[in-house]
Amino acid sequence: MAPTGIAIALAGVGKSYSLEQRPWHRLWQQLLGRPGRGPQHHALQGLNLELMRGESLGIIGRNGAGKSTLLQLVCGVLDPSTGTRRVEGRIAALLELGAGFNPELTGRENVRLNGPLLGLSSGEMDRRLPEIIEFAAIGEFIDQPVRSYSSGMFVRLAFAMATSVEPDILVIDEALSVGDGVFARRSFDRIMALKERGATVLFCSHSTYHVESLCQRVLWLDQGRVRMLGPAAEVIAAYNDYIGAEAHGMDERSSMAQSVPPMAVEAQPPAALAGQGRLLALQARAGEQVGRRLKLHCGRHDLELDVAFQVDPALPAPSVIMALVSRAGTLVASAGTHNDGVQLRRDAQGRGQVTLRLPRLPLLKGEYDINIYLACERGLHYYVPVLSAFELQVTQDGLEQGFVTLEHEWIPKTPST
Amino acid sequence: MLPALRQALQLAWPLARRDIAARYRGSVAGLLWTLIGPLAMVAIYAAVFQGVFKARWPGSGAGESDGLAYALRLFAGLIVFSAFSEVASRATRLMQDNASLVKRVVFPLELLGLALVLQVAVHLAVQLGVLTLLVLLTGSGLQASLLWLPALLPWLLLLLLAVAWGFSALGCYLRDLQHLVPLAMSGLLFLSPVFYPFDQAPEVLRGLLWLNPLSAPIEAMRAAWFGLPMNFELLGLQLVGALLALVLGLALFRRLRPGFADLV
Repeated sequence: MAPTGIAIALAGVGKSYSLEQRPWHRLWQQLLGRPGRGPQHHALQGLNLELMRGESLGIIGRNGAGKSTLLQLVCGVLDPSTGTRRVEGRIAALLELGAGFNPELTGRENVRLNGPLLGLSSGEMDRRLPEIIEFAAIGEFIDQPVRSYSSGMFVRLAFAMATSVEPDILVIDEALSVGDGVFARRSFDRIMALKERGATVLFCSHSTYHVESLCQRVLWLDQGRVRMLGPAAEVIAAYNDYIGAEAHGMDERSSMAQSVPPMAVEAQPPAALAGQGRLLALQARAGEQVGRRLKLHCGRHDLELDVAFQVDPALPAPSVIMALVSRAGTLVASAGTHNDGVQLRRDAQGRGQVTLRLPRLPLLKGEYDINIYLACERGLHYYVPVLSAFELQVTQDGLEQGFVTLEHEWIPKTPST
Repeated sequence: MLPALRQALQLAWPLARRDIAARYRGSVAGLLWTLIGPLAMVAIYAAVFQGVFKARWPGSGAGESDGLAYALRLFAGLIVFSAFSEVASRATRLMQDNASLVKRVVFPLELLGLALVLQVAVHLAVQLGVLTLLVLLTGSGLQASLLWLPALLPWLLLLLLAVAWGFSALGCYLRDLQHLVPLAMSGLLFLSPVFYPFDQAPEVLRGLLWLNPLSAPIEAMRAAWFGLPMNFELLGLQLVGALLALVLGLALFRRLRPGFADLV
């Protein structure tokens, strides 16, 4: 295996789905070997990509842009409708962790039986088992049926198994966001270790931060087409500008990212809400700036977050929760109307609005996300969680470290002699 | 050819074992259920046909009690039929049941059909073991014609594999098969020479029996166990049919396969 060899080569690759609904027609088209007739949905079109051994490529784009389709094509789970695909080396796909697990069997049996799916014999899998158990940190649960696992344990075992095969190519779809904090960190370390050992990495995430820290090159997909392909910093900057501009300019397209619903949606008749709630509008204001991505300076701006919502009028008045999270995922601060004893008011349609005011925001330098949750009256059940509803870029003067600056005062005393 | 088969079996066997283990995990009787089911059916059918309708198996030797002889011949045929019926019914939703393997993992899907057949083969083996035991216990003894089994069983398994591939591919596209096939199987039971020997069937049925791919395996199975004469004309014709079905089933599967991931 020459270190300069090509690991992945895609030429003119596209994937389309037939929108044909009638089963007999689909069957007939497939039998005739021309599934391309009739109405089509193009998930991916005309993609050219070459990836060298040891290179890492990030894939960004909004939901429905074709990211997952591309990963599935590379893994060979899907076959391209057009174009050719060449992939060399053993692939470990972290697409859906634990896809081959059977809930009735124990962890040990599942690992052993999944070996062949990863290209290992049961014997080889047995040899790796202690290391897998160790990494997954699930102890004696390995001999319990998988259905008794917590979701964290399940994912840890699946991750440990999938990455234990020393893959040449690692395909990751948002896998880093799984598991608890400690494990997320360790899985990240393992991916880095595999990467250093020369594995080619294909990484798809909504977190541009993660993508930038892991990948040299980034591919930006938009509506199934390549929007941009180049060095990570450039592409991510362009992508962030694009997303930011869209939020600012209220350039409303129907397909904003799932985590960021449109700025303003039409209220619905209450009947359509049955037991549900939804956010109608989200907006952040600080000084002159209005939008979803703001640039702030430490302690200089008052930040105001406007949230408009609609909840089935038959339900009790909802609560709104704000969580401020650092880019590394640390919860910095939070506030909730229920916790603060604030009662939200609604009109007959169930619509209401609330503004959260954070005076002279004392955040220190860095990037932060604000998550907004529309929740039940006790703040327990989320009707709508919006992760990264707002993004903040904060600058500061001086070298103060940490997330926030606490109000403080130094009191020098003259030493009494 | 042989190394490829070996490799395929190595991959398919864990899947089959996984499904067998998962199926009986937590049930007290476990694998015994593969016996209890068919034996209960044999008892019921034998009681009805022999006890109520006074059916007799022509040519069963004297000295044996009629009821038992009838039940054993019934059992031999039913073993073949229930294997076929189980494969056909489960194949129609095979891809849907393994959706995660179809959609999320790179997996040679032909092996799912093979794994299904292997599972049923395990049940088949257990049931044949019991048949042996019963035959020995009733004192009729093992026949020399049992030497046919090494040829007969692979044939049956190939037929099952053809059905598994064909039905699992079609079942992806035509969901109605899931409901239709089990129904058709209960009808097919009476159109197969399970309750009566092939050559005793009325003329009306005879034509259908020639077309029924199960006629020859069922007849041959019974002939092997009880030393009855083989109908070589039927055997030869249906063997060719089974081989054709295997080629056709695999071709159909390969042809339809690209659509699976979009459909399950």
